[in-house]
Amino acid sequence: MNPAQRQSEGGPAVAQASSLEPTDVQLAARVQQGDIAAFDSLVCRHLQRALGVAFRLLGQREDAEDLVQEAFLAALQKIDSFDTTREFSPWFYRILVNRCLNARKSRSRRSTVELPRDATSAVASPLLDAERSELRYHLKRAMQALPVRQRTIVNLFDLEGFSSPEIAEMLGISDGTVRWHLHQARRVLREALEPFARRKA
Amino acid sequence: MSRDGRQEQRIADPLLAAALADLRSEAMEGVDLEALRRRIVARAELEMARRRARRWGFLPQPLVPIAAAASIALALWAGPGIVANLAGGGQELEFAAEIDEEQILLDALGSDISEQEFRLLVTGRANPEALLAFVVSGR
Repeated sequence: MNPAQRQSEGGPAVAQASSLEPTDVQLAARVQQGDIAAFDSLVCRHLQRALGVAFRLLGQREDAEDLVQEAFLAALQKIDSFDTTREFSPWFYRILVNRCLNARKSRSRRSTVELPRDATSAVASPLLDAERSELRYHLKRAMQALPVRQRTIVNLFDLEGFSSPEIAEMLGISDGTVRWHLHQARRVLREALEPFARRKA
Repeated sequence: MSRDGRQEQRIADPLLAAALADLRSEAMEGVDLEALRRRIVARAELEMARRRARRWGFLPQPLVPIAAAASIALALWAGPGIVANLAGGGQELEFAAEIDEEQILLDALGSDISEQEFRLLVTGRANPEALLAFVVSGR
């Protein structure tokens, strides 16, 4: 993900401060004063990325939409506790990620086994698409097998473009722990894709 | 080290990098972002209204009796005159007095009355010495 994309999707406040647009923190401060337009701006900035994060963690679009909606409203309810000397993004995504993980936990208690959405699509696809779908299928299966924390970190770092310090703040762990989990998770994913790579070779 | 540490965490394995890139590009098809944004903001407006109501609901309750007690105390201390003055009542009374005097003079000039009756009506003095003394004293 390029820096511009990261910035538009709620990247570091430092990067945003250089433009004429108000930073996330400035908008959050206005929301604390009861400015609904500022809240709308924050929703606009973070909605797509938040939906991406929720979808990766939950695997279902409807659930992701509901969770994102809840997370934004929870953020609004807690906005007075937001420290305007810190960045908005990790604070907000921490709320979202916690909710997603809790939702996953309660869903797994109801013992639903998730299947990758396109697990059967390879059959009907042309050869190239079938190959891609198969690769995607194996990757998704391998990701499902990862411990929750590692899967979350891979999703946030490799798929949603968060930095390791941001993820560390979101999950309440150290930057080094995030890097270690990322390294471990990638090793497992690489091993899971090896048979596919050998066959292709 | 780069600012966000992403450079150091690049994926070395090309197949895994390609697979993750492919997964990243998986679009959020069928999601109406605008409708979702509107739903969130509509619910947020309700929440904002509740916050405002909470703020306004908390503040006046202790202040209303205090303000009422302060008003009563001020009225008792200053007396009833200040109330009339505050309401512009004093000016109205002075104006009414001026109207009355002018009206009496006009009525007296326009009516068919004797000189003595005129003196009595305008100044309340019946004889010429008393009238002269009244005029000299400027009253």
